Amino acid sequence: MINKAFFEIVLVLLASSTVCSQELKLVLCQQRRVNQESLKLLNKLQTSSVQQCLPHRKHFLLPQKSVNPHQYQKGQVLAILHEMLQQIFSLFRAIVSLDGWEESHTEKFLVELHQQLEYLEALMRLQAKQKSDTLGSENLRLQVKMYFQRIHDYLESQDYSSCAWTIVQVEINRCLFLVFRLTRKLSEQGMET
Amino acid sequence: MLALLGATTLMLVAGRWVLPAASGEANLKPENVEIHIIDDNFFLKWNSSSESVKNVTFSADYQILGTDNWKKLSGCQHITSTKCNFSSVELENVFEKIELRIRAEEGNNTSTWYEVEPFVPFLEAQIGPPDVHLEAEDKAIILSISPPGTKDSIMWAMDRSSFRYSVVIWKNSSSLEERTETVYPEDKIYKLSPEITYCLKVKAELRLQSRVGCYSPVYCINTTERHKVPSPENIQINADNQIYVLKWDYPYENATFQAQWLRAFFKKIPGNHSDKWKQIPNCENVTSTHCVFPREVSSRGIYYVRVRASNGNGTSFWSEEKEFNTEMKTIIFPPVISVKSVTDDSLHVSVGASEESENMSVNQLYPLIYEVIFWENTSNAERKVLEKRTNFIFPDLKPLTVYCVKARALIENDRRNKGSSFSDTVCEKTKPGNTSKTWLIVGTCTALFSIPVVIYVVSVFLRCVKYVFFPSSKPPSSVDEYFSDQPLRNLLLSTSEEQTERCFIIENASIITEIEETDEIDEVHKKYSSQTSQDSGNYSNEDENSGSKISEEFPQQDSV
Repeated sequence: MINKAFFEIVLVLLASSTVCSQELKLVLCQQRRVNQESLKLLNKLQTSSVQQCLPHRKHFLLPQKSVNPHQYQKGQVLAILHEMLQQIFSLFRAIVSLDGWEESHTEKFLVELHQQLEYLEALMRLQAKQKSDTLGSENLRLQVKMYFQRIHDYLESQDYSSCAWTIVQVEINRCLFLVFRLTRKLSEQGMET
Repeated sequence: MLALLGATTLMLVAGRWVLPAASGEANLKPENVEIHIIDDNFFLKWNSSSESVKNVTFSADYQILGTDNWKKLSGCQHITSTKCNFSSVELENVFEKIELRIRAEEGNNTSTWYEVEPFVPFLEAQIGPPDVHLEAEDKAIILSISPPGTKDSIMWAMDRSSFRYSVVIWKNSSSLEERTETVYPEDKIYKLSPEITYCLKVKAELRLQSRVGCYSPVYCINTTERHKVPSPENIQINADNQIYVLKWDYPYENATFQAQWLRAFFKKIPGNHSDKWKQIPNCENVTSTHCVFPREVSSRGIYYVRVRASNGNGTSFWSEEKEFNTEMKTIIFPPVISVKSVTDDSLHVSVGASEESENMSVNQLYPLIYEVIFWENTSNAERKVLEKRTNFIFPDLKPLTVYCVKARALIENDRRNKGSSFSDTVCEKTKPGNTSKTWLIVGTCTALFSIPVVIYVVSVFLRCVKYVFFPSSKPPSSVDEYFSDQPLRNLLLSTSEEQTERCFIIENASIITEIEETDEIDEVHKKYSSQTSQDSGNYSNEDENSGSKISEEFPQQDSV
């Protein structure tokens, strides 16, 4: 009886991991698109304006070390990714309400970001069934939230000036590199298991 | 579990705290210090035996853990009662672990601090009830929900666009028929009846963070009387190669239609986005119940689509909004099926993803089910099954009968979505009945017997080929004797041009000899002999003739 149950569990685990690896490939693909759009946005910035904004730079303390993918379970990495993308989404959707935003480009970026969030959420709902490794992701989410709060505070302190936006866009691009690295790591992990 | 997590009440059992003995006051023993956080409001509550003591007040400080920089909480200074509250605005950061301490004071005397166990406000905060605004149509209620907390809430500032809302709705007349739906901040609840009072309550959720808020108060609203112009129903979008076809049902005549779409990401952003809906090109003032637009007009991504009808009486409300993912539509490919006959009365069917869909691999994200249609080749009676498995068996079939199978993929939880087109039909014959084993044995024996026969036939054939095309390189000895100078090694394959003979007949040889010296005769003779030596390699009849000619001429010379 126990053996039978055990066998079933193993089967389910095997099946779910193969399903996941397919999806992870897709998530990685989509992340590439997100990063591409972000770079396009960045390219819209004029070099002169970037140079002019250099004195406004700030160190936002991207939590690079604390979100090292090696030490976390898949569920936790997913939580970090989701939180980061969700926060980037919130940050950029603020621009939508501002005047004179680069509509078409920001929109494209938000569209890709939104699609990626949908994928991740679908993946996390699957993952939630194996609840074990989503524990402990709260603190990781907190780290990410704090990082983004620093960005929000900075923008506020600079009155959302165009220079502040430029600095933030560059920072977000940096953050997206980290996201991409994490995503790739995740998909590699997913393939192995 | 969620409810437990949601009810995040920080229960902190207070230790004993005592006023310094020097004060001479009685021991003050607060029993419990409790902190409730709802949205941005912190509620601090404690018990104290000092209530009887007059002029005792309480004050609270806080600091970020490990900073050694205590700050006064202005809402909780010199409090005469045993509770106080303050807002998160007073804290610098709700994500960092903070320490909180309270003490009693009387004049210049103070008690020692009671320190609350450090905590992260954000993790302890309860999501409060959202604000809900309702508007009624005849068959729908429009919801506008404001996220929990005030507009400049610090607690949820980073999560305002992550909230989803769970709505419980019921007819006021009978609370038995409850319905629960998850909605966006600006959303609609459909499939209601006109002129009915509906009541609903809403709670906010951060699902992926396992946080559930508390319910709003109950709101009730009457749906309006039936609208003169009904709305289109059953919106569907199909993708053909280069076009999208948007279809809807409308059983009434003389109507024109208009269709709009919205980028789906707007749904996640709180606030009114009614101005973000855009006209779908080619879908304005349509008189048919469908419209067609090219793929290029839509860039990648997820959309919401809605349609409304107009006639002489006016314009209908918007239809239900249909989600439409440009990716999804292109991605559900027909599956590939293979059928194997296992026994005489069953067929084993396996359904797999096509190569195309594997490259796209989006299929995998949405759980698919397969609609499998199955029939006997000679009859039209079809059997239809919905299968989640990719390998299954059709039992109870007739032996030696051809059955055909085709299948298509559907998205499991979205039956309204059309799914893929059908796969190619695959037909397979079931195995014969019980005699099959004998046949198998007979077949095997025949195969075994035939092997030596085949080997023999092949070897004979090879020998023939060898004989005809590659004869032994040595001609028979008799031939060899004749043509020892230049033996023809290969009669059949010889391609060398047959050498022709050049013959000279010299008639006036005698005249020449008369005029010239006998040496010349010798020269001529030499010529002849050189010619004959040239000819010596040829064995044709002509040679023989020329040879005889030469022999005829020599006597002439001799005669001279």
